[in-house]
Amino acid sequence: MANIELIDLTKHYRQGKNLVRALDGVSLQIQSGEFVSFVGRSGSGKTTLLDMVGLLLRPTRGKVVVDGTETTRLGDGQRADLRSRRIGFIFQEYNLLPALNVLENVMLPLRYARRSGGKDGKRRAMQLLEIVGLSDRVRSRPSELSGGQQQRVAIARALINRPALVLADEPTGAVDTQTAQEVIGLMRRINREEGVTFALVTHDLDLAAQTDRLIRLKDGKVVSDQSRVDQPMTLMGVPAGEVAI
Amino acid sequence: MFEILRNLSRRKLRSILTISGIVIGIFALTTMGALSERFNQQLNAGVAFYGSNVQVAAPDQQRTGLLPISKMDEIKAVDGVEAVFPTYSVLVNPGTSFSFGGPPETIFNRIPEESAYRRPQITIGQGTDLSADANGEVVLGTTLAKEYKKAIGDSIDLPIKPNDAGPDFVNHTFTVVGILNPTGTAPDSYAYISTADAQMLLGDSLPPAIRQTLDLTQVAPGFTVYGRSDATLDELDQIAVRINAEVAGVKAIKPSVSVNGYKQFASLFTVITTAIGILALVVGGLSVVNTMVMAVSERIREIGLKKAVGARTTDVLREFLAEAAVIGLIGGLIGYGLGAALTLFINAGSFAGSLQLFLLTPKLTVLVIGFAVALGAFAGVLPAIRAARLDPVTALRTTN
Repeated sequence: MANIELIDLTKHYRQGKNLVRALDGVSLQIQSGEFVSFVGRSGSGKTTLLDMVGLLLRPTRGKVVVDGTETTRLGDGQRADLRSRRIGFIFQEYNLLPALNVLENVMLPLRYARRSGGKDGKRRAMQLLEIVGLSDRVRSRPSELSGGQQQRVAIARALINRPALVLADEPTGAVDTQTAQEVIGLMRRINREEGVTFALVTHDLDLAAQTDRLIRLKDGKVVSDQSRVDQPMTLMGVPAGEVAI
Repeated sequence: MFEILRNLSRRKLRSILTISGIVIGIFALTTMGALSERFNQQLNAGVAFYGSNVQVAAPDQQRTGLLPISKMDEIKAVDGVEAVFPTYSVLVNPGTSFSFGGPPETIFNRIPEESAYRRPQITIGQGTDLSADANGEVVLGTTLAKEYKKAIGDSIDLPIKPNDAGPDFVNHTFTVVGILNPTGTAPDSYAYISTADAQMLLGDSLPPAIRQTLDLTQVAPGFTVYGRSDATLDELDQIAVRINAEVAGVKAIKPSVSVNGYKQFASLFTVITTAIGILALVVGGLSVVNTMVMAVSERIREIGLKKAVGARTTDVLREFLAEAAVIGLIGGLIGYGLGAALTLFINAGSFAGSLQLFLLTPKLTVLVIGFAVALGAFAGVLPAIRAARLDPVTALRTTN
């Protein structure tokens, strides 16, 4: 199970003559099996944080420790391997490959995991499609599916390599409210039943309220980090307008 | 593979245009390559033949162009000479010359004893060889037999009477006793008769004034001189030098001169084929580059996604190279298919009877298809590198 530790995580970059502090000394831990959401205004650094936890982006300073492995010194190939074995991704726009059918999209990460997909891979993909309720659409192309169905395929794809951590970037940003509830419910169920750690970025307070822990970012810094046990998840101490995208 | 084909089918028109570029190049490469293979086959046979003996003719200043048979004994006495045979030749169709399809159809005298020396060897496929005292018998090369629709036992008038033949034209009826095994080279379009019959045809071709003054059994247009069976080209050249020095009234041609002539001719075709290859490279290669650059531009998010789910730089590079190579393969197969169909059609139809113009060999097939795949992959290298180097975060946030 994933145990993520961020130590003084900092990302600065130049935009013209200005120095942008996308992330500024963030330190926190995410324990195995947690269901965490990051909220904040546009430019608060939440997506940058997600990219660095997902080993897609290297920090200017600080460390990302995944299951005891300090990742910032790993080479690109090692980071890619770790990503494929330990981390799943869900994106707002689903990012399914149009040339592949549903089953092939779900099995895509197996191709890069240096594991033999074979029958086991296919069986696992079919199980996941059963879980997300799309076992009758395995041969369909992404263009033949609704937004909610595509996102469910993306969830199945994120889980194919049995990751310890799934990172979701605005997973309900492109679907209607009812579908958003279905999607978050599905993630919640997988989190509870399979013990997969979920970390999602969202601007949807209702969605954030359904997570176990809400971390609020502002100007690249953590301004609050509250668990469900701390206080009711409805407002979480977030001032009105703070989570607008 | 299916993914690549589906990606190609997503942009049908562009894929068709790209593949068409390769098809054109490979089509040209196939036809010119087949032409080159045919010529090389013939030229190699020419090199083998002329590299195995010394041709002796009359000196340039000699009016009749004929040599006395007695010179054969003098040549036999030259150091290194193993055997000497008189050579008679008459055109099957008077008035023809070396054509684009190969040497003209020619009637030669065939001496059974010479077979042991001749390179490359020719063998009888149907019927029998000429008998020792053959009279009015002919052995035909396969192309001649096919062209004139002759089988064993049929008769044929040689030389063939031209449409514009004069009143003094003479030919003779021969019985086909044998048909050679196909060689794919010049002997396929040759007819072989006995030396006595060849002397008769030679006489027919000479002006009456000369013919009446000559004993045709005592002259020959040339001799073929053989050294040891393992004599090198240099050694045969030396024999030619010694013949010229020791035997008056003859002109021995160094075999290296003939061989080099053939090789220069072969070089010309190599240049032509190479030029076509470069044309294919430019036309097909640029179209693949264009397509792959567009494919990378359109699929930036896809590349980002693949990297996010664990694809290494080398994985992305390999996938795009494979896609480019498949484009090359498809274009190569179609181009080769069209080229092969055209060459087979021309071989079977328009030039029936004469030497076939094209030769499709396994080597050419592998070379052409391999070239097409390599061309596609090579043209896809830069776009693939560009794709592989994409930053996944930037790629994932790109709006296509």
